[in-house]
Amino acid sequence: MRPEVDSNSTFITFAELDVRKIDLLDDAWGFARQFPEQLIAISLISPIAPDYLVNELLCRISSFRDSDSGKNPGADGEHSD
Amino acid sequence: MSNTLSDYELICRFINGDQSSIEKLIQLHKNKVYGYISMYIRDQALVEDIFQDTFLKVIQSLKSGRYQDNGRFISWVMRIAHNLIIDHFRREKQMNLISNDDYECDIFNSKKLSEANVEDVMVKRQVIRDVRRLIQMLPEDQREVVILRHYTGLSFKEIADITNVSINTALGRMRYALINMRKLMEDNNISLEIN
Repeated sequence: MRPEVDSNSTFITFAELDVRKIDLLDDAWGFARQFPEQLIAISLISPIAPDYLVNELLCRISSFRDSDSGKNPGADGEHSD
Repeated sequence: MSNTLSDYELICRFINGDQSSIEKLIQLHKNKVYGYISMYIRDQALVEDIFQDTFLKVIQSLKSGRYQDNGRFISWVMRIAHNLIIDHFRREKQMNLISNDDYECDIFNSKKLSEANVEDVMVKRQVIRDVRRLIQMLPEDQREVVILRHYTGLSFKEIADITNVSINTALGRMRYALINMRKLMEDNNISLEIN
């Protein structure tokens, strides 16, 4: 026996709910509705890592890698699943 | 279907010798880590040192097999960054993180600033300084939740995990933080007039 549906609304299934970008707890507590100005204020700051910093880090990583492979040739092959 | 590899897949590839995977991980998470550190530390050079040390420690731990994937990689990275920040303040015996100094050095490359004219830039820079000060004036536990939620994009579940409190406590701290920010904005006559 199936329940009768009196509505013309098209219901979406649970699987169709896209909540990947929503923190449901955040949503449930209603922060966005209650504190819009404060949340806008917070979002005004968008820290971005400077390119030179990231490049320097990547250089350091590759230099370690080069020195590692110089000291322990073949060490990369030691890892296994 | 997305071609983007998950953090876990990138980690596995890196452990198995694919060096480019760690670069991809860094590129994916650099702003979250940088944002987190820079919200706690004013000294730009120190922010950069801790940023680099965080990722070097991550690499060390991955290589030595100390990382166990029990959720999101970024929570673990944040914990490492957090510990390095704490280590720094312990070393410096300077646990008072709140400062009312003017923050003249603009370490925030706000995306919103790039498209505006000079006058707007000045006004916006002042607003950003005010906002930063507001966040710094919050009690430590509340400030931490705001930073983890909004500058590193962690979920409340992850924040609860990192800060060793229940999810409800993390949510409650966020609520108090926002209430306090509203009060501070009123008391300090800060209003947002940015388009």
